[in-house]
Amino acid sequence: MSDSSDSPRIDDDAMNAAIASNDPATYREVLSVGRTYDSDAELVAGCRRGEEAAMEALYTQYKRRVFGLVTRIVGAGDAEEVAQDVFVRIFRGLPKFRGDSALGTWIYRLSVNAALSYATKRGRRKHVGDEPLAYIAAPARPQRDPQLQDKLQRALAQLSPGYRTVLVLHDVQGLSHEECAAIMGCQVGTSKSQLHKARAKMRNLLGPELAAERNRS
Amino acid sequence: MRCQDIARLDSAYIDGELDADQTEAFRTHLQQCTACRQATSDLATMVDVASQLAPIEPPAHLWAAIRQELQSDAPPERDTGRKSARLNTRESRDSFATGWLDRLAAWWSPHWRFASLGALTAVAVLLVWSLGGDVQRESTNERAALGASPGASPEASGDTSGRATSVAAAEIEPDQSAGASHTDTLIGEMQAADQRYSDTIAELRAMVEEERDTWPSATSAAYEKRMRQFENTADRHRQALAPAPSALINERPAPDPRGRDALYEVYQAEIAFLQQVAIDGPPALPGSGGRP
Repeated sequence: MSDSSDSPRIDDDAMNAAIASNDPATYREVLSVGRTYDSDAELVAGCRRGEEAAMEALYTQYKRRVFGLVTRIVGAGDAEEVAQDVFVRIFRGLPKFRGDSALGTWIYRLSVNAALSYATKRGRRKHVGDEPLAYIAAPARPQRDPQLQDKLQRALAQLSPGYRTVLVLHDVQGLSHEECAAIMGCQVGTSKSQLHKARAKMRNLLGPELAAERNRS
Repeated sequence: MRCQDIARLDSAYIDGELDADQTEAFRTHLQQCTACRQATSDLATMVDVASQLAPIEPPAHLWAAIRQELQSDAPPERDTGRKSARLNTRESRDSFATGWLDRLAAWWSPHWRFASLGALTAVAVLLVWSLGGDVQRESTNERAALGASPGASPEASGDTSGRATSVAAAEIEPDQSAGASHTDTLIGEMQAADQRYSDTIAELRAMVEEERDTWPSATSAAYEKRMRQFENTADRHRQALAPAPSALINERPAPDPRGRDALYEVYQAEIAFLQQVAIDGPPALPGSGGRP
């Protein structure tokens, strides 16, 4: 592991303020060390050298995206196990990462592959829609049905893993079709047609809820 | 443009991927067709709601679990003690700053202090052992120079360091060498550390159990599952540390600091997890009923 002199310094004032605020999120933010790695290349190089700070920075930078993606593909109950597996694969695979694609794309691809593989192995044993998803949903827009996000989560869980993946990548994570295609290993046109079908399926699943929403406005 | 064209292009329309002519034709059709207008509106609503889904924060103990798994397969390091100390320091600061409950803070610091004391004691014992060995060798050389017999007692040559070592060895196991007695001491220290970790985990579990009756069943099941994972991992490490039957018969089981380090990291991860559950309650668990 790295020498302490290589490790990014933690701002003592910020640390004291975080302690005074008694807010775990603020404290964790102060502890986040990603700011000293200005580029993905530096981050990767630091991880390859085994620097703890670089590894933690990479984790901090991608944890929400990876965890959000796998949670929405495999469900909340198994997300932790899959996310842990993804990050272990990332750190073990970084020495072989050649930089042919962007780091984020590579990490997304690992995440999607791991989550789909897990979902396939699990098969019909368990349905992600059976799990409580309330903690995932953010407060809905005031003028909308506050339960609509929960209902959308449950409908999402009923999609096939492939449809679920493209919808989460494009509509939830906000990636472009080019990025989705690179992550899923397909053509851009395939990504578009898959998304079109996934959306149509979702619209059917949410028919009554969307009709009620339409009548509210 | 007909209704079937609308159904084919509505997704691209929402994403703004149609050219100007297609967009114009699409909008013209929507003005005339209520069904297509509603279907496109529903699709846009669905996409908008999906885009508003909040980011999902992973549980706080995930990073510790990832590090633990990475380190369990990493090549052995010489300064694992220093690394562990650094991890403990970080976790201690974390626990302090996360607004740790008073009753938890009351036992947390002393427990880590005990663990640190245990490690320091082990290092001190090793130092005394090696120093004692040097003194003994020097004394043996002196006795040889004076023509004393190899079997002469340390007391006869006035070697008090050697006497202290011999007395300690006699108290633990009379027929073993001084080195074996220190091995016993190390094993004793490790067993004491095991006990302290075990006590700490038991205390935390008891605290969590007090609240568990109020949890949803799914949350409780997620907690059980996680705890079983910790127990299974710890069991594997403990089995790896258990001496082979032949070692118990023929020789004394040797302490394995690296193996112990791996086991202790499992304990630390379990403690961090329990700590998080004690702080946040059910929201700290996957499948829980509500993150604040």
